Amino acid sequence: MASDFARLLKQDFSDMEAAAEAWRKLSTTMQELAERHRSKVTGPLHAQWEGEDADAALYYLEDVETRIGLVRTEAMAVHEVVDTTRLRMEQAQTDLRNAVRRAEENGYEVDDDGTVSDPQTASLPRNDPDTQEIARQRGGPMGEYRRWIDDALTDARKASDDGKKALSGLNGDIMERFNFDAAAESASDVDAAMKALGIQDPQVPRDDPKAAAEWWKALDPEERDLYTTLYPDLIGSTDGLPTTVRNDANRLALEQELNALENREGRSFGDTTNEDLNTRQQNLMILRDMLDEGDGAPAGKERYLLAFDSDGDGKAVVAMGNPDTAAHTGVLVPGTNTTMESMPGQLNRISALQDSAKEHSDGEDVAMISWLGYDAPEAAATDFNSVTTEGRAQDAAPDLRQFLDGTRASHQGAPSHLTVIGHSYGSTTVGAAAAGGDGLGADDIVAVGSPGMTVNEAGDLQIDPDRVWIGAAGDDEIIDMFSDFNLGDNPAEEPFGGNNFEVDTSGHSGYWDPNSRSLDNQGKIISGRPPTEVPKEDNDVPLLPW
Amino acid sequence: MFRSSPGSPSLPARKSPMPKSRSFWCALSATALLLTGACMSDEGKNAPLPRMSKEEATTRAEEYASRMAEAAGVSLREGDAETYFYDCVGKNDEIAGDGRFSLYHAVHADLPKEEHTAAVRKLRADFKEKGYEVTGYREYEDDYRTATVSATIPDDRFTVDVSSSGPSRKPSKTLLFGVRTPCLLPPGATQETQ
Repeated sequence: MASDFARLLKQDFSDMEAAAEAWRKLSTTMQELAERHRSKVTGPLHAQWEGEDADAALYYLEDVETRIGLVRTEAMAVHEVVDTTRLRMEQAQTDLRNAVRRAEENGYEVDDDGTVSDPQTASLPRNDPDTQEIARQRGGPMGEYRRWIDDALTDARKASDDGKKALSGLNGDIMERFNFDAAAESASDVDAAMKALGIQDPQVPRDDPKAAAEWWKALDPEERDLYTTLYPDLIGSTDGLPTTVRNDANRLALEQELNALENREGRSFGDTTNEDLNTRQQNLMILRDMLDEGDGAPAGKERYLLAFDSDGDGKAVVAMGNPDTAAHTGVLVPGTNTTMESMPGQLNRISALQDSAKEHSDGEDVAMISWLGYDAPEAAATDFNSVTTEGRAQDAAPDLRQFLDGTRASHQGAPSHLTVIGHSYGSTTVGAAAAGGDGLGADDIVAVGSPGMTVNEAGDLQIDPDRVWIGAAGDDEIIDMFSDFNLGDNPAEEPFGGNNFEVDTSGHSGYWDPNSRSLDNQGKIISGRPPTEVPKEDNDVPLLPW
Repeated sequence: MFRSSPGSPSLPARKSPMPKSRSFWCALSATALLLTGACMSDEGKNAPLPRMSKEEATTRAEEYASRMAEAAGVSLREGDAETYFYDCVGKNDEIAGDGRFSLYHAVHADLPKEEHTAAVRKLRADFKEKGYEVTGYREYEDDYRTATVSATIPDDRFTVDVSSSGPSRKPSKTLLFGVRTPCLLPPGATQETQ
């Protein structure tokens, strides 16, 4: 039987290379298949089929989609293990061959077991000091060659052992029909395999969207597929990466996390209570259902999951239409009491805004984003502070700025026209984000039902005040009760500056009523067209009781 | 930018509907109730919705758009009309499951910017003649020479809006004819209580 030395020296890695490539292709095929299944099968069915039969069929088909997703993950993990093992063993082989070549060039012999000997000194008399000096001088390099060879063999054995260990967790059991937590298992399989290989997560510049965009552009297509499939959390949550990539990664990550929450037995969730885990599961189910329902949407109405967090009330950033290619992008930041359960209603609102903007621009591409990327305050007696102080808004401000930086960084071609709309406490968040750091970089800022934008003048929002638009219903009691106090002066009033646009709706939540100019005016602003304006309100100084 | 011409009509300045002192005390003294919406009125949210099928609403919207184009003396762009349907969203983002919907119908007419003001003036006169409630009217003497008029139709509370439109930062070459409906309940559907 050939020694390890002999085998490594002659090893042909082309089979391993071909195998790794075949696994990669299987994974990318599954990715394409999942997309087609989503857009051609489940999407249209979600849009057109209702009832018990539909529920049963869609449950089955969504399960198929999940399984396609896990084959994608497992196959990419196998690819990475085989390919990494091959690369490491090839490196070891190169080191070994170099050691042998150098030894032989210098007159040493290396036998089939890798033993290094020196024929030049073997026959020299042992009692001659001169020859012994020669033997001593040649003995040093010989030891070096022996060590090089040993190191190369050790590296090859380690690469092989690590690869074997990593592959052992990636077996076909995961596809077993009654394996209900397969998606979650695929995520932990990847973690275990990468740990076995000692591979670190990719170094993504997560705090710098421009750098993240450049990092992504520099990757080759194989690396992009690899990172998206094996590190969906990381890729999905990085601002500056392309919308389609983030959407793909986030849907995979969502499926894996939801699957883990649905099959908790034997899994560790830290100190989280069961009640909190139930909430997280519920949040993700709402999000998944909302995405599923949009899978059959026509071009321009497709939904992209740009970020999500199941914790607490839940966070989600969802785009309708692709902001990377749109001529106009609107970002709606919701306010008090917005939770994951609000998302379907929020999507209806951004859909209406998108249509209005598209028509006012005579057909230019418009993307709308619902940015529930922060912990919106609760209007509850148990948490009075969150809604009457700037805390939540200031906490969210850097995240909103970075998200918008990412939107610009991932945009293709000429910059899009960007409008940021804040409703209720969302306008406080928008104000805090605009006033801090380098501002929002938006073309237009809109505040509707605003209790205050953390500043007392539009000029403090780091934008031309003429591009600040305030919508205020005459009977919006939130404006009336909360503005001019902790959150800043009432932006609808004259001292604040900017423009007020015409609002014909009632109350605090009517700004998107279907047959309203309130809605249409926002659509005009998003499209870069002028809304109908009204004069700023008179300054209404509170009658303080002291 | 985006300033209406000095001579154009404008709405009076809005006044706060209630003295700030009342608001202040409401905010200060009844925080829990206030935060859960007790200071707001839910009046009318379960009032019967107007009934209409999607087909009927679409037909009416198309008809209103045609009539407006005729009154403005322009031709609607062929094959351009889009009709969008939406769920009705409540104040807490809730969506009823009883099939209630609203509609937005949009169609363009190509028209040189110099003719926008005249067309919109004709429409305002026509709306008044038909008994529509004219709810908004603007003429802009900006770089784009834009104009807009909007109205509510008393019979069915549909709203119409005609505005200069087109890609931003370019002179407008089109008028957008928009028709929107209130929240409607299809015939035969049982209205859910909210």
